[in-house]
Amino acid sequence: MRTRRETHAAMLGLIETGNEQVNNLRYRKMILAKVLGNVVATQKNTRYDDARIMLCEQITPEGEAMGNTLIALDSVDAGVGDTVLIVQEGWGASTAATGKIGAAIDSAIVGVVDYIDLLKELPSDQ
Amino acid sequence: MQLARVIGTVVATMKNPSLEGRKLLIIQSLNKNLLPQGKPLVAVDAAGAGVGELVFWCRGKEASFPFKREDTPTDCTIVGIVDSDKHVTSV
Repeated sequence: MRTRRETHAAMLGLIETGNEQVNNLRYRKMILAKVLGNVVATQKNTRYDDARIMLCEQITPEGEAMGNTLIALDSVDAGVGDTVLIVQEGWGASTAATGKIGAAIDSAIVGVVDYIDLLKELPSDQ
Repeated sequence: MQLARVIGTVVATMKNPSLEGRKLLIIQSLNKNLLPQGKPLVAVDAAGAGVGELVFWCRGKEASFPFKREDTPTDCTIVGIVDSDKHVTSV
């Protein structure tokens, strides 16, 4: 039996649970990520036209890379090296990246993070 | 969305009618160094991809949006083809 804290850690991908991809599919969440670069694709779904396709890597709130890379469409002019906020839900991602709903987009960069304020010690589990 | 390499095809004669005419491909997700990440998946093709190509795919309900029949039962769809391996820049 997992404690609440372990469950949260698993949801954030902070502990190994066997298959990261399954975790990613199960939990739709806002994540923190670092922009690594971009991807050029000429032949793509028409709803992606004029979009900036960015390669990102999920990070922990402390700033450590978590090892899983993903692609997100940029809606805020994020640059390489920026810490960004990515929304992983179709309606929000599609609206942010293209201005319309109903595009086949599951992640979009919706903010550039200036800084993160974090407690030095996490509150202990009750 | 994630980067992936198309590593094979799937042939299924008996399938949901809304999948008729759709190409089913096996893809392997890749990380920033274009090395395998996670397990291979079956994806429906919406971009005209072929075996060996570098693609990116969309997951979840949004995966069915490229198709006219939005009830197309898919949760993993290839939505774009990356021009070449060199067109993925990462620091």
